[in-house]
Amino acid sequence: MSTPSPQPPNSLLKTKVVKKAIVLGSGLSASVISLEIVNQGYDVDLLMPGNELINLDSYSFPDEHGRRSAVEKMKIIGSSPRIRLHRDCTITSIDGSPGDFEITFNEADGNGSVRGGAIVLALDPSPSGIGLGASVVTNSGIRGIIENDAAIPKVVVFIEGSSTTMSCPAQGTTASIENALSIKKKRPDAQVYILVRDVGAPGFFERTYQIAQEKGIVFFRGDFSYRQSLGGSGSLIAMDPVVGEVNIHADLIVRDEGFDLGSNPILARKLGLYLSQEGQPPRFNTRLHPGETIREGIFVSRGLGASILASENFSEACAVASTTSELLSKEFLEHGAEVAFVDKEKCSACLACVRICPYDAPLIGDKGKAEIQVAKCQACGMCVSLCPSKAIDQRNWTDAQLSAQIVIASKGDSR
Amino acid sequence: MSQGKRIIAYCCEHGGIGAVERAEEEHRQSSPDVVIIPVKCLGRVDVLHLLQAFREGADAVFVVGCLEKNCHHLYGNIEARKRVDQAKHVLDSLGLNGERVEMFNMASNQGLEFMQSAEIMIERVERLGPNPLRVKR
Amino acid sequence: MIIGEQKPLNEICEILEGHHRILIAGCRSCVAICLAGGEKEVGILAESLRLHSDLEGKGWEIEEVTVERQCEKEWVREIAPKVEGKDAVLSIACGVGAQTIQAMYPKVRALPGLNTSNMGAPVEPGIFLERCGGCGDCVLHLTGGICPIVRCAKSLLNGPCGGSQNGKCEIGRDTPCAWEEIYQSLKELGRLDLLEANIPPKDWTPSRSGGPRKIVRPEAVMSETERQLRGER
Repeated sequence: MSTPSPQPPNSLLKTKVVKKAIVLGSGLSASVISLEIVNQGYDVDLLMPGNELINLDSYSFPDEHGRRSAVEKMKIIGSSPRIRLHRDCTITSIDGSPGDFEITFNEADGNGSVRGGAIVLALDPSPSGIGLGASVVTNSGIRGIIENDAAIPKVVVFIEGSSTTMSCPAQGTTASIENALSIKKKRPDAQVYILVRDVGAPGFFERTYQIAQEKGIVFFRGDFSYRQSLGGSGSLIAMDPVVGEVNIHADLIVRDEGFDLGSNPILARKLGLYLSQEGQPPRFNTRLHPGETIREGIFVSRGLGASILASENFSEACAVASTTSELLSKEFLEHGAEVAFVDKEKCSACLACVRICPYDAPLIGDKGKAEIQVAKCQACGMCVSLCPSKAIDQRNWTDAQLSAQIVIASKGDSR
Repeated sequence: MSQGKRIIAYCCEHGGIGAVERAEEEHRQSSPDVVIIPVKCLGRVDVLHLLQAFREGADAVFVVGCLEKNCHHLYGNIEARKRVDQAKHVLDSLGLNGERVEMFNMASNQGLEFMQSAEIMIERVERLGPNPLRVKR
Repeated sequence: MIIGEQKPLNEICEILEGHHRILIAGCRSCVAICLAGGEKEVGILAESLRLHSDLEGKGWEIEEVTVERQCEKEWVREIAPKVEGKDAVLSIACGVGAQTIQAMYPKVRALPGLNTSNMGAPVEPGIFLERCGGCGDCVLHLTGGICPIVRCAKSLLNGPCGGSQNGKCEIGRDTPCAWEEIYQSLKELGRLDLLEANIPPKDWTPSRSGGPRKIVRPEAVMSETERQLRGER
């Protein structure tokens, strides 16, 4: 059996790529990404929600080198002719298509607009990002507890992100593993659990992971849910694919920092990020490249934070800059080969397609009938099969083509 | 006298075809009874496409997509599951037995899982018998 | 809009008994939107019935057509070529559509494939709730925009009955008590004073109970002269 060969693009829309990136955010993440994109040869417009590029106090640097490095970056960005800084920005609209986006915003001195081939949402974790109860701390918080020799509770559970698998992944399980080992050292009889979907123990950190297991730290590799709210001493039900359901009464729950999206939930929606119930950005499919989202041209860095390995911090940002630059390196982006299209005669304007599309591609045009925006359609075909009036079909994946295949495939003769 | 079977598998380009290719890489022999119809996303598959296959003589139809919450297009596989359930209902009403149509979720590296799902459908066809319409032709 | 549901497949097959050349007629209006009778549903029903016919050896010939609005003569007239030679038209539009087809094609049996239910709204994809009772004498201004005729199971006009519990109707835990909703709405509007006005016993004449209703817009009715000048259409 052979796989179907991809269709040669018979595009409907050819967008000339604007060789600039628009970076939204501030902090280390936004800084490193902006610098790396410039290194790749593209200009950057950096739209900051506040006045300061990096608030040094909000980071816990593993050492003085890290701190100095951050200060250096601020200097370079401040003086780089290829990075335009915009302060106190509130975004008013996001338009355009992959390769040629336009963002309008209000800034400190008036309003402005920028065009860019790609948009990068650069998020840094913030300790205030998620609501915390008395018996829940972040990875930074627990470091404080351990260092101050405060009473270390008996049962400590480290969890990755929030209770749904759509949450943001840890900034490396390294932080949790290191802290878990410290706890075991201070209180050998502590029961320590780490609940993660994937253990992120890159490179030689694998050895630390092994040691952690040898020391009796228990790893659950699956989903979990809370029986009580986060406020009280949580009772967790961990679902391990091998063992099944396990009930853990935690004295202390340790989470990663969340991301403070501030006014950004609206922004996130405009960029096509479906936030979890706690307002956290989604965990993306592992088949996407670093920073990629399901929307072309939109990238998200879930950057720098409590990870112990400083190199890991910068790897993430660099990887996102790299993927962004890959898009910017193209001359044109082509769209349309496999998109859905509407027969306006048949359309009942029932809004089914508008509601179902993960990419916000359909809209009701000024003729009162649905239209599919070519640059946004990712050819999933959900609107095609859903349309109650059969007004939508899909280029190169038409109903007629499918029917023909079904007829031949269903005949009982040998191939 | 055993008659050849005809089982159709709608496979999405990620989890579905991925698992099929993985099965091939692992040198697992695919049954000649199973014919694959690729789609970009299972969201494209409608109840009509499932029923059409039976009218044209297929003995069973299964739909293979990514694990839930892992669909590249977020929920194409969940939509497909709803359509499969609808088709089961119709087949039951018609006396064809809703077991002839099924939904399977798997990751793109689960070659064995794909083979097992094919085997489940083959077993069902052996148990339920061929599509009465195929026998008539 | 009008909300309806397809009849179960088995019931449709029974209704079709004795007919052989069948046209399935859908509609692009309300029934398409409530996912019961649009072109897509016509296609699926057609395929299901063809399967049934093949399996049972009934020899049915089934064709499909979808009308813009099945209640309008002009559009129903357009499908004449498709109705030609059929012994039944299975309408999965609302009851109005099915009757229009019968009126336009008196020699061909018009059969209902849909149970027309109510006037309601799609509150969420796939979920349609009854909203309006068509009583012909609307009091929404007195009830904070909540219809007491259909959203209250007893159609009470002046407050909840004793069966209202925790905001739910006594007929079921899923059904909100309309008068609880009315109270909340009026509270939100700052018009709880409206609850004090007594709504008098309802005159049901303008509702279904008064017989089949006819509404006339004189300004749109063609006079005899206009008809003559315009000619036959």
